[in-house]
Amino acid sequence: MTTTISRPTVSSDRWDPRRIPGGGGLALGVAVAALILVWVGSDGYRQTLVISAATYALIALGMYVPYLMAGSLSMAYSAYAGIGGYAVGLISARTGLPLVVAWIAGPIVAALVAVVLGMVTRRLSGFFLAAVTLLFGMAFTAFLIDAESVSGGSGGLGNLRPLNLLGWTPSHYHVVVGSAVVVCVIAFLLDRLRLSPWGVVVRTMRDAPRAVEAAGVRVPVLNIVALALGAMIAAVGGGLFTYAAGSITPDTFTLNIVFLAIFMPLIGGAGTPWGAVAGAVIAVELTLNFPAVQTSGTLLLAVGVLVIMLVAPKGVVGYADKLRTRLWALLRKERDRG
Amino acid sequence: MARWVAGMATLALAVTACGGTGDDADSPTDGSAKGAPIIIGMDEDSTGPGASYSTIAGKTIRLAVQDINDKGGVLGRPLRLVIENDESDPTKVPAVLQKLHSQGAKALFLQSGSAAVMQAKSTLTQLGLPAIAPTGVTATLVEPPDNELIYMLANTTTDWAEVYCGAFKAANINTLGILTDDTTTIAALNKALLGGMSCVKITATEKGAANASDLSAQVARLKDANPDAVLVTSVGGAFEVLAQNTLAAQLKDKLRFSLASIGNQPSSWKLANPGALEGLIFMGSINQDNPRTKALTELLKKANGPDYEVTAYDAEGWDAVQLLKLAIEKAGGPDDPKKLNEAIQSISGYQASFGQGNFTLSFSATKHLGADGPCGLSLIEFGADNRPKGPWATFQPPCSS
Amino acid sequence: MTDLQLWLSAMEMGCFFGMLALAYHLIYVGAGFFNFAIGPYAMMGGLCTSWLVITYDLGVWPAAAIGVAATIALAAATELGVVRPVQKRGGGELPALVAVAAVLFAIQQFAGYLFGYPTLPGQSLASFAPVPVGDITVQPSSLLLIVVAVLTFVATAAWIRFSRTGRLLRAVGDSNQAAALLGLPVNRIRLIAFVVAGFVAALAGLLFAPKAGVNSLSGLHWSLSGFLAVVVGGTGSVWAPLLGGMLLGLVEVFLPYYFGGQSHVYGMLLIALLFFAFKPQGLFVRKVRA
Repeated sequence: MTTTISRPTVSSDRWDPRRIPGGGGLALGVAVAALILVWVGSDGYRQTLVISAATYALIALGMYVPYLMAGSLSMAYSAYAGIGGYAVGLISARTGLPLVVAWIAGPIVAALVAVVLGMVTRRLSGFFLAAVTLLFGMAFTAFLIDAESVSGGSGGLGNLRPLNLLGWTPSHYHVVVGSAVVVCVIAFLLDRLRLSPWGVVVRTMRDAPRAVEAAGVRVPVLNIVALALGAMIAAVGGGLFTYAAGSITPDTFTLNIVFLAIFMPLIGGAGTPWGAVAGAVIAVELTLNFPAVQTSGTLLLAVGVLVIMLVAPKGVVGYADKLRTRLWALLRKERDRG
Repeated sequence: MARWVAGMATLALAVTACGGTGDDADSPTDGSAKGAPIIIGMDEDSTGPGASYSTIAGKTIRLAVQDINDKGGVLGRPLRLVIENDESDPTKVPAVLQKLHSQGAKALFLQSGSAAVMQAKSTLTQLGLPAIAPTGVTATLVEPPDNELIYMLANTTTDWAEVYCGAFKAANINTLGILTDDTTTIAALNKALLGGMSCVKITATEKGAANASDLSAQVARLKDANPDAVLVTSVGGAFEVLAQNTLAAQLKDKLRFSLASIGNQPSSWKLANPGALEGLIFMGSINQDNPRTKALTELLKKANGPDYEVTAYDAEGWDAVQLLKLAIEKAGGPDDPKKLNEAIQSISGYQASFGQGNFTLSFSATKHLGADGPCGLSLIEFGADNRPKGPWATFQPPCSS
Repeated sequence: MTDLQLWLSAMEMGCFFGMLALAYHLIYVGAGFFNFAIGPYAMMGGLCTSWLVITYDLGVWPAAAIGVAATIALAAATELGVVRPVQKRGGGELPALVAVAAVLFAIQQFAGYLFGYPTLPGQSLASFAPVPVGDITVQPSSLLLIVVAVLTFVATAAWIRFSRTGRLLRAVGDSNQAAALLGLPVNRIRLIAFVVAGFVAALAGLLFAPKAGVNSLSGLHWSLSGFLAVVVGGTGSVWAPLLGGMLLGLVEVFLPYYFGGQSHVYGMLLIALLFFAFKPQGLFVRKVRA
């Protein structure tokens, strides 16, 4: 597993990853992920940090699709992650199906719910959409508590079966590596998607919906596809966390996570999906692994978001990119002079 | 503009950083104990929604550790607390427990919301660390799955049901109305508690949001159902007080019962309208006839000022530390988690600092809940000054079990 | 629906929601967007006051004055420090929405850090005895809330109608750019809108806190309720928010009365969906201008 990760970073001179769209981001992302995995080693705490970061990253990536690409801020992502988590819990507890099915069923159900919610709210945007989806998230939690026969009520579902892939049972470390791989793959695919014709249309739709509509593209359909895709990614994240943690309750994914997930792309940089991933890593570092401010990591995060939004609107990745461009220009100048 | 923002940020950072260091000052010292410290982890919600109750026990746990260290420690070694905060957020729980484990914790105290503790169970099994949830009352916490390593002290809802039933019989109550909040903690508790109360007919169950600002509709429905008495089940705090305020205004002449939380949260008594708590009967555990409760009360008043109201949370936190000390001594050291777990299970007849005078705690491989019999409980009545007046004259749980 | 107590409760909730909605309305009229931080403003007004009274034994009135002043400062800081720079950068309403969400989150966290996380009892400004009305008694704090809410609406209506600033507020709100072209003091007017909204929200939080206490996380819920109230009422008249608030108060009280339990959670979602989908302009629409 680890060899496949580090392969793209050892690029030969002839094969330039920068020539593939999104390749640069992937190379950097994979390199950082590989570094993090080496740092983690067999330390259980660090492994859990990676799982948490991967979960946050997947929820943030899920929100990234409709929010930064299509410009609709849906805040029902606690519900979508919850659906992914409950898929794992329910398939483990109530059926004899292989557990992998949960990562197919969960995202599909989440996408269906997102489509229905998207249809009902298709005329809404901005503040109205945010309010309705927040209320939906609250109602979903209420439903999980009420629907005891389905969801196990407030106690939730636990005691999950281990994953079994054709006779191979991955260890906890394998799950950690796998989650990092999944995050990298999804971020890369989203980055490709962003640069693809569809992505360009979706982003144009955000800025000039009328122009896109006039060009013969059905804006509401595109919007709903973006919402469904986002919900699926968040559901994968929810399933991952539930599997790694071993249980899920109605309160596992709270509104707090939704707020954090809005902020992650801002912290990391909204220009690319990798920004959401970077933001998730920073958020986990601040709220879980920052000794000096353990009592108020979330406060620091909130203040940080405000500062970043005002001072560095392109986020950490945008800042790093600017730095890189300047550095390269400087180097080129040196070379020219030499 | 940018400079102004940066200034604000620095200020915020400075404030935050101060807060961080300020907390360290509270942590216990090694006292007179020498030798390698025994590290105990505590998952404490100090800033999240569970902070209002988990910090009460957390403070007393620190005090108990300090007390043990001052008296020479455990097996001559000091106890050292490492503390992490999960903000009662279940997604943070695995990481927090892993962090405590990686800091060398040999056993854990779980002082957090019950959803978080539920989430913790499976992580405990992964880590193989024994843990005590000092203030837990939800029976499902110590039931399968993943219950091999988790322990609770106080009587659970099964015993509560028995006590309430005794009380209802003594007060000739045949029908009961329930007013409840919508938290997961209480939903689980209701299931266990109400399922065990076959002695009364529950004629109405009304639910309100935990952060509700109005409960008059729920109370009006209870009024329509006209039960003999009303039982409020909530995690306490603002909901409980709002419920009692509303009941006092709209259902004046009905007998009111409540769970333990209202008695354990002196700060919320001030929220009540004048006289609104009068006559309310709650499931208390603090009984000054118990000599150990009396001793603990004196100690806490010395530490926290003469106005300090001792609650069950204090006593449970205190006893949790003493039990762990006992277990480490029985196991001959903290380092073998399996042996430590077995040592906890071998504790029997520990005299608790809450409950009635002869109340004891015992554990076994199948009994992860310490309380022996219902006399860890005591029905306490509120007086006109919105403070507990003393044991309810009509009925008290018998101590034989 | 004959229980007088229920009507009183609905009225209390309605007045509170109405005041929150009025704060939304003022900023919407002045700056053309919905400030989701209204709920946290109200929380700040209530929580800061209670904290000062409990921690420093301050009198209720000076504590309330400080609490309201702090909230006004917070509202002004939101406009000057966050909303204005972000809106100046352009990009539609999304950046402003995210910025306001960040403000909401930051205020909650900061309040929790400063004042602690437990719920604090609200401080009542009124000290007279409960008033019996029919077979119920009205708590002094409830009476004060209702009276002040009505007075606030009267004062705001008069201010918008008769004062120069009030008339400017409506002019600026129609189009910030057009107003700027005409040489109107757009920035000053916007700031005034935020300050007045902060004052109204703080007052609302302060007066409502005695009912069920206030904690650092009360704000989000209040924000949503106030937003729903302003959407239901519409932005057509200063009185529309009060109507929206009252309707919402009735829903919040009578829905649980007839259907029990969590019905208000589902009910709020349903109302939001229905109104947002079919009547996003609310019940009252300004007919004169489009």
